[in-house]
Amino acid sequence: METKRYKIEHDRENCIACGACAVIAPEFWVMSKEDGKADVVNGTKDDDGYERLDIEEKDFNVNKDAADACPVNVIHILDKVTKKRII
Amino acid sequence: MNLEEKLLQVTYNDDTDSVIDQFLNIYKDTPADLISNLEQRNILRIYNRKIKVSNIFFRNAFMKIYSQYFNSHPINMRESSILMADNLLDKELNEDLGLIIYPIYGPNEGYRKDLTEQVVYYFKDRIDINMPFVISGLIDVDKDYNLEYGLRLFLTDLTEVYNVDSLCGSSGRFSLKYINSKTGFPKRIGNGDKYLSLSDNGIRRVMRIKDCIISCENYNLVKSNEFFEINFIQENKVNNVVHDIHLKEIHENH
Repeated sequence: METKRYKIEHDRENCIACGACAVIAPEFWVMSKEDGKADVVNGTKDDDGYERLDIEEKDFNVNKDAADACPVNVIHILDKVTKKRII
Repeated sequence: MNLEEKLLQVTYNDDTDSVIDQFLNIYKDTPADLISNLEQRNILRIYNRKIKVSNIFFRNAFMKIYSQYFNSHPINMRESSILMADNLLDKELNEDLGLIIYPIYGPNEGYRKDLTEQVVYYFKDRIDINMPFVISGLIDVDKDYNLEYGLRLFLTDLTEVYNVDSLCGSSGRFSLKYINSKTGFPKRIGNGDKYLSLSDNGIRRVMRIKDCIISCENYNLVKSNEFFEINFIQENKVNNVVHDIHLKEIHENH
């Protein structure tokens, strides 16, 4: 069974609602009907305003693409093993 | 002359500061001013003297004033797509290229209604307002406190308005091989390494995002940050000497 090595962190407050992540990785990102901003599908909504979700290695690349495309760099991915922020 | 040779990015100096001053006279104390992050001159200045902030009002007001001094026009959707295809735009930055108006009630309804009425008046049967249409090129800006952000947008002789069939569909991938040279948008959605992100209501900003996405989702007309740039296309390329003389004349006339 594959472990969830990576963690997506989304600084939702500073999201500009361009839809880039949702068009690149629609299984993980969706545009909110309420305020138009991106939401992490099944992510936690934490007190610091971030959304977070642990993902498996097989889902890393598509979310890395979404993070790379974000125009305001509010999508981050952490490697839980090395404790380093990849993006 | 190739399009790339006409590409012009404005940097700050004493003369562009005077343009900024004129813009701020329009913008100051409007709701847009209070909401956005453009209200402080320091924010406009800090990024290595290169203009790296924009929203739809700042972009157009600045361009209107700047274009009066220099023989140039704001880069439009079509030109941006050509330059994007040739990898000539900054891959880390984004740019506002206009607005998309969907024929369904949604965000910015006051602006949607006002601009649709202007399009009907000026373009009559040439634009189908029951389909999404794009407003690109130069749009005039002036104060109007009847509208949400306290600023009204006016169509001008340099405004381009057109319907785009592919904006009626769903978001998806496209290839720059299939860009419609008349609109700057893809003719078809399917395969490719670029993305088109669409919504279905209200007014949204049309943005080039980095070098891979055309976004028609963002409905916040005023928010912006240092990740945006503004490019011009010179009508007749001027060398630095002519440019500097022109700037000097402007300075002296003020």
